[in-house]
Amino acid sequence: MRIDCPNCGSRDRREFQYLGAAVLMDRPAPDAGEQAFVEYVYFRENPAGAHRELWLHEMGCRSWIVAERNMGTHEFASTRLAADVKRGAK
Amino acid sequence: MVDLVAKSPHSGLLPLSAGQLTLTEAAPAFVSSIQARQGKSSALAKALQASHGLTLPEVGKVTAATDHRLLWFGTDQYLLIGAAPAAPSLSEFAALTDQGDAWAVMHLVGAGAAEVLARHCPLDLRTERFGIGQTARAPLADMPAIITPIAQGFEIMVLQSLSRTAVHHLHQAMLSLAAQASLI
Ligand SMILES: [Zn+2]
Repeated sequence: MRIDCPNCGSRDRREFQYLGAAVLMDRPAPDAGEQAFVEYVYFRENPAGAHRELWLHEMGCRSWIVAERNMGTHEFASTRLAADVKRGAK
Repeated sequence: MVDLVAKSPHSGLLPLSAGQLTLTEAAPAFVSSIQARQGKSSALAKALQASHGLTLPEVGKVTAATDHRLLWFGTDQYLLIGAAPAAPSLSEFAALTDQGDAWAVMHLVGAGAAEVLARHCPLDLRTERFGIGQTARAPLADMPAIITPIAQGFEIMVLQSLSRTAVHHLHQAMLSLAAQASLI
């Protein structure tokens, strides 16, 4: 399995560390309430298809990457720097 | 007062040679990381040009002046090698960190350098894909490394705590390649 780092290009999956679903980037507001934080910390989708997730290019440029991966086929549809995603969202 | 003796990271380990290849220590006087503050990249670029005569390298590139260089080191992050950063003018736009005691620097030079490095590093090391002016952060065996093509070979940087391991792996590969070459 290879991952396209937006900085470094196509690299082996073993250079990366997986963190989980990209919903981690959408932290609720401090006053959002208990239920919102329970969902943010614990509840995850497990789709048999496209999944947005976070990877760290640990052995390369050490950037966080938001990737869209098909959970059934491991095919990557897109990879973007998490910093760009975050700033673009603002 | 005890007079402590400063040792370089590869003291007692390098230089080594095998066949036509040499592995030597390069101990730059200064290594500093420069992390641009958010939205300050273009201001940092101007300050670097004014204080060091260097342009900001693009992703995976190196820019060089006579005795110091700037390596791309990550998103909005650079490594200044060979000169102390002009702190007051740069720190307005970037976080500066002295990394002089962090990195051990080696030069692997000679015919077959790419073949030796390829034993432990998955980068495409062909000159047409990875030549002078480029740089990459990539694994060297199981260690994070910075690989930069130089004349006749590569500059290899690993964390100083890993220098003995890096030398071991590279020397074994050099000996193996030299032994194979002697059979032909
Ligand atoms: Zn990368």
